[in-house]
Amino acid sequence: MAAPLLRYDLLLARRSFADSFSTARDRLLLAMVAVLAVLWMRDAATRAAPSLPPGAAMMALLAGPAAYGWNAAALRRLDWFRESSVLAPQALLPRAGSSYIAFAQLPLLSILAAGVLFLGAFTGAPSRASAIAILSYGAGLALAAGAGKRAERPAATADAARRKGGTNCPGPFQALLAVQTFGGDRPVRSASLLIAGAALSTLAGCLVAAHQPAAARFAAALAPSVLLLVATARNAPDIVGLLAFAGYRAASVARFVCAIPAANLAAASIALLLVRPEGWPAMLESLLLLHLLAALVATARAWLSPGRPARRVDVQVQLEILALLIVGTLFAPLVPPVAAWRLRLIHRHYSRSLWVQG
Amino acid sequence: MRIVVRDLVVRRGGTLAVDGVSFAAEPGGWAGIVGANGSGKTSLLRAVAGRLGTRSGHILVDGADRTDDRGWRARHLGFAPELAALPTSLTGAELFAIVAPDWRESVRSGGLPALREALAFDTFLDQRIGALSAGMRQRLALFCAFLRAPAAAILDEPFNWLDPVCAFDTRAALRRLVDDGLTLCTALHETATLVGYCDSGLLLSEGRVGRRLDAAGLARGREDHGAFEADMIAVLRGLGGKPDR
Repeated sequence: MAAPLLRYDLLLARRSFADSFSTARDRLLLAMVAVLAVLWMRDAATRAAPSLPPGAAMMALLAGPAAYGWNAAALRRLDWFRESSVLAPQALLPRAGSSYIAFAQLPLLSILAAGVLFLGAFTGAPSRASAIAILSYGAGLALAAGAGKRAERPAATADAARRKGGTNCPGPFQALLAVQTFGGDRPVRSASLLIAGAALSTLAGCLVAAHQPAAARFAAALAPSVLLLVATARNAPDIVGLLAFAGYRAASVARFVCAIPAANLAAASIALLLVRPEGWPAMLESLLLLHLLAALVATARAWLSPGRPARRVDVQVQLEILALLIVGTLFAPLVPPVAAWRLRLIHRHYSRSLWVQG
Repeated sequence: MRIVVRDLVVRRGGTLAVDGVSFAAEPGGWAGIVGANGSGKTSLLRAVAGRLGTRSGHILVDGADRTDDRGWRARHLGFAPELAALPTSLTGAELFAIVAPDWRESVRSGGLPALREALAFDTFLDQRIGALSAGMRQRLALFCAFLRAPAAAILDEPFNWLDPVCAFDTRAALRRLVDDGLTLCTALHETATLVGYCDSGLLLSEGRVGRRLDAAGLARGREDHGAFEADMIAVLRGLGGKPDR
């Protein structure tokens, strides 16, 4: 049922790939990256085998958010097919949506299966690694489906929408929050509920995993807030672009987009401090670092958005992160000044886009 | 194909875009919808074409209630996509083949060759859409609505971006298709096409019907277009909160 939609996506992906590697230099670069990846895998295989708990914890941390992000994107793509694409007649056929979402799992599941096999081969416990990955993946999938359904449920009437918070004319902060929290009618309440839910999950996870190995305690403490960070890490280039032309300063935009990471950090920290599981200072430090990274990425994406297509913004932010990782690998103390320098340049891009200079 | 819309309510992005609109589009008739930006024209047309869900109301096609069958409406009513939804990395020929693999056969009969000639896209059909101008893309998007030779078509501001010659020829070709039995609904931003080519008209304001225009009213508008346009503008300016459902 979803064959035309999948063929269309495959055709665009093939065309995009061919365009990206159209010159001999591009193909040479791709070949070099492939060779480096193979060498890295061989090098990793010769190192000491990791024990299952850290590997499983990593899997639990990564599989859920990846499933969530991937499926939320697939659901948005399906909505686009149904509402705007030339394939709307095919996308609206019975069962086309469910089969499209089912087939969309294949790429991510293949990567996950490769990860599980890799981990299982190292640790000698493939079944436990698979079980943890499947559970985490299922949780991310369910959350994406739930968020998608929630986004489809508007207020019954315009009057009800006005009573519920006047979303007919939201302020810029509310408009950005609505994008981050999947377009609910009351974005502040939605964001508060999500953050409270993640904090309660952190609290419960810390209590349940109190007598578990260190890696499991770590995963229980970090997973809920990391999942929330990934789920709400949505850019709104149209709104941010408009804010720039309306004269909103870079600092105001940064404050808007960093609100969820800041509130989430505060709530998760309180939950952690209430329970104080073994090794909590390291957990707190990791939480702080992760949220700082999320806030920096959100700020960079927002500041780069005016006048640029969303895809280009995301590619540039990914390249910036990759460059910082390389710098960190070579000489870690250089990361903060390099990050500050890059952020300063990105800030300059936003400032140049301001329509009204106060 | 007769399309009847009754008390339709459509919400879009948390706001009420269409609020209890009723109208009918007759076979062999051209219904023109005018209104200010944000008055609900696009949402109304997209909902009728199955591209948006409805909150309440009814959409009847040839007497059968198709309100809950968006898929049926999407398959049987031709609809021109927005320019932003066209795949920039594909050519026009590839796009047409995706919409209707046998399109070259299906557009050979009736008034479609005349429309194809008016839109004159054959010279750039094999170029990538991303390399085309907005007017060229609009020509391709318009023809997408007719690739399956539908009995009814829904076009949102079809003459935007077209050059004067192409717009003139396209209006005439669409009129010929309507005279051959096509049911056509278009959103329009100028009253000249409304009075010159349409058989009925609808003025939308804040999602509601502000005024209905029948063939006689449009004929009077043709006689004195200046006065008609001034009257329409006055209606659009003054409608505010007093719409006629």
